[in-house]
Amino acid sequence: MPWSRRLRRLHPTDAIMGLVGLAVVSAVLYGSWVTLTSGKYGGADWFSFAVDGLTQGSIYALIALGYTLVYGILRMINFAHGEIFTAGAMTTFYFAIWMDGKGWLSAERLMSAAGLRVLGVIVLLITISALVSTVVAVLLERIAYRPLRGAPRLIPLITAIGASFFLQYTLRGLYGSGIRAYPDVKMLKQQIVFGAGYSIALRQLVVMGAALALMLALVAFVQGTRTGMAMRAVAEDKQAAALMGIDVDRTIAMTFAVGGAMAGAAGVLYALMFRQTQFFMGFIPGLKAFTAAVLGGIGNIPGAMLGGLFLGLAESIGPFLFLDGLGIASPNQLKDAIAFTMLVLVLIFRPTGILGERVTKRA
Amino acid sequence: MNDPRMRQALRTGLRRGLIGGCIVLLVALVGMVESFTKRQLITDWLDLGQVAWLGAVLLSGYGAARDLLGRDEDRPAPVPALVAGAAAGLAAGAVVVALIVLGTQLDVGAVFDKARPQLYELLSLGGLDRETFGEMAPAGVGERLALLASVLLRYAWAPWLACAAMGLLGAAVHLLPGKARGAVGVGTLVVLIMGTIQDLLTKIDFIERSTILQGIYDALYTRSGMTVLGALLLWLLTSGLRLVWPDVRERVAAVLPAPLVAGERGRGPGGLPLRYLVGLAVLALFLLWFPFGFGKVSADVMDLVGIYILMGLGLNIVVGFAGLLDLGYVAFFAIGAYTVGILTSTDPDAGIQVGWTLWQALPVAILFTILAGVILGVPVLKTHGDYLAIITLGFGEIIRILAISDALKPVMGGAQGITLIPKPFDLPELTLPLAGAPSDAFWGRLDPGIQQEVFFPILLAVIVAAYVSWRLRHSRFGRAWMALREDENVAEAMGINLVSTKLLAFATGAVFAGVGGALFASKLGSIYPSSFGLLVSINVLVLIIVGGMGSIPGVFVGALAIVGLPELLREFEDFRLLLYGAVLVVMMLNRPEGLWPAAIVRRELGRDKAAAVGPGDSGSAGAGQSASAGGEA
Repeated sequence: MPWSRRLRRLHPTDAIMGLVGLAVVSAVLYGSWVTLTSGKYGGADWFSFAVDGLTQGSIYALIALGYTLVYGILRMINFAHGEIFTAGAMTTFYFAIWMDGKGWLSAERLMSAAGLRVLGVIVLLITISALVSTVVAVLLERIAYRPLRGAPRLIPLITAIGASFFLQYTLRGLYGSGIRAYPDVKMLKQQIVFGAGYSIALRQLVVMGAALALMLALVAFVQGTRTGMAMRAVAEDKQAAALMGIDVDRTIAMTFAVGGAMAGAAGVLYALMFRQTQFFMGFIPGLKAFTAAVLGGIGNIPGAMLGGLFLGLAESIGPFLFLDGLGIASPNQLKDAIAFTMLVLVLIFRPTGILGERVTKRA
Repeated sequence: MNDPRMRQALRTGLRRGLIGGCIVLLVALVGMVESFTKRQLITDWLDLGQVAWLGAVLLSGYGAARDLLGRDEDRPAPVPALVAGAAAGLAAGAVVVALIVLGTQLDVGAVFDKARPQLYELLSLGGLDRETFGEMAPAGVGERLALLASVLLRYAWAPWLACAAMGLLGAAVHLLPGKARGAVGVGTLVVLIMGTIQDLLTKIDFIERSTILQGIYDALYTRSGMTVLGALLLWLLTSGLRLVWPDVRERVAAVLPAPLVAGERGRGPGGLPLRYLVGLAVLALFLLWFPFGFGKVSADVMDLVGIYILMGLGLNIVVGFAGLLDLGYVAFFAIGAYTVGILTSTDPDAGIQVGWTLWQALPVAILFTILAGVILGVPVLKTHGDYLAIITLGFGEIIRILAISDALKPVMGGAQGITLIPKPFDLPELTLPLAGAPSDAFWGRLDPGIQQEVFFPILLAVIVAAYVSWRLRHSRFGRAWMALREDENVAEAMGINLVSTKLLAFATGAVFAGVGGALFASKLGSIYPSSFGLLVSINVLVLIIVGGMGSIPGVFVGALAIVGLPELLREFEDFRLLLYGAVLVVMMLNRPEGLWPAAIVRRELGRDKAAAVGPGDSGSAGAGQSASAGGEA
């Protein structure tokens, strides 16, 4: 279409939004330029910001997978997904302190029998947490969501909001409202130094490695197994899948189970990173992970991973990169605002996300 | 046991009982039993904690009988029903016993915060008291087995039998003929409610001032809980009334003048049925007297309810009428509150010194919220359903984060908020000229605190807002919103301008919330960012859903139930959000149309109960999942 005709057809609200978008982009560019030319942060700083962001982002990515899987198959936002994450992390806390009491979490170096045992215990904790979260997710689907299949869209969404609060405060009732300090694994504090100022904590490597392994396993599961194929078929077309002999209800339950397992695993990784659990801990990561899923294109598995990593990076680098340059005081406080602003902007300007093709007007 | 009917009864009972047992487990472990026990309903006989867990068992017995017999009453089969009820009770009791046994063998309290000795004392109906429990510390297999045997023999039978009895009782209630069942239900419910609201009654001023009412109160209640006799009398009275109610209603209708009776077509001014007008006049007089008659505490609660009604009416326009799910509604409330706060604050340290009165600041606040409504509305014009919900949620969070941040501290006050916001006005102390009443008499002296002063502006705002939304609902815009809610594409094809329609919905909703926020700020005198969390949005959403989406009276019912009730029942404070969540899920599963559904929703559901699942965007959702998936491929 020629530019002149496009311009004439432009709706005034679109024009306003275009201007807003332009203003945001230029503010970001200007802020970044000011920061970069001032030379306030050196290469090592940027490196550590990026590593922080990738660590955080890989946790977001794991949670985002649950949103994306469920959305792909049911076209609903499982608002309670953050609480599934919390359920795993909080339950595993008791196993973690029990194992810590046995001395299984104390080691000086990675490359020793004790160090390998610590890794084994972490894998065990991840497994337990994934199991707990899976159970919660499947129960949630069975009790709250299954009876609502085919209901108008608003109804499952409101149910999910209700379930989210119910789970959150049930966890608070069961485990108490205080913040529990997760065992401090000394070995994970070890710094792996390479070059002047450039270093990664072992904790970050472990979190990123575990997340990567889990994501690869998920992709293998979805692409390589019969159940995974059934999940893809149901996501494509429920009726046709049912005609092909696929048990749709079972497949949907399976999807919730897989998403729950990822969230549970993420719960342990989150607890290892921040060394605390609380009943409210899943809410903000849940929202951020949803943002990540939308960023990558909801319903799209590689998109969720990419979106998570991107969001993590934007959150850790953004405040220092452009908010600092714009002269905003204590920019790190506005980390969450960056995430939500990104969410809003993506949903408005590119609701299909980075990789998404599947979202249509209905969403 | 070879009778298939009996086998089915046992199976049904066991299933119901295990579900009931799991609910009891949950109720006990989240701490409801222990916390509710402090509320005596009938002194020394019944407390709310017992109602919570034994009631769940009773309901599972009732449910088992209903599952077995179905809803039709033509097939009386008392024996299998009772067997099912007893089985349900025994199964639920077994779960309770299992918890007690587990608690004596293992240190459950190390994981589950609320699994304390008090809980076991309550669940074993007092048998296993705290001292005995404290001495139990088994070591070695022999001791453990001995402990197991002694717990089972000495402490487990009481709760188990009680559960069985409850299950039987539930099944027996189901076997009653429909009319009697209704009467028993109503009587029990009234006694439970009256027992629960005792604290509230003590805080109502006019009861204290009237010797007759105080006499009735003293006859019904002890210091904590109802008297046995009072509860029994109340139960008999209300059950009896329920039984004869249809009869009484007919007789009363025969005596009353015709225009006051339902169904008669007497019309007063404005085309309203006369009985509505009479009702409204009585209500208006009552509301004028309310803050003084009921006193400060009640007025304070009603102020909050009124503010939530305002917000509910606003969100009702956005969600209920236009079908745009807004989860960031608190943003407008915050904008209204902050505008008034900043403009009227007399704090000498504040960044901006204006020092207006509330009445000068209010128009500015309204203007700002309209602007905010449009600013939020424009970008989300093209998003729908879930995405809209999430975007608005993001907006709400952004506003809160900005209010907390240091970056805007000079204007918004950061985490310290804004203080020293003046009251709307000062009412003088005066005596109502009613029949020369003495100053401490029933009708009351005006001794207004801020709670009572702010009641009237809130009342006025609620009346205006209700009137505006009622008129809008039946206007051209109201019909456009409905069309939009049902199907956006069809609405557009019918010539509805989506942009102006949606923006008007957002702006009107925003103004109501903004006025609510302004009154909230001047009521509290200081505002903090923590008062404007996501929770407010959720509260408002829950209240319009409970009341019935799109229903104006539903907003009032919902606000009273969701905001008023928990303010009065402090025991519920810890479980408020847990119960909200449960209420939302249960409402969506069983009664998506709400307590007081809008007329149109009622009509839709009445005609086609199976297909129309509820209000909201039933049209734009496509004809169910499969169709929408096909459409998107």
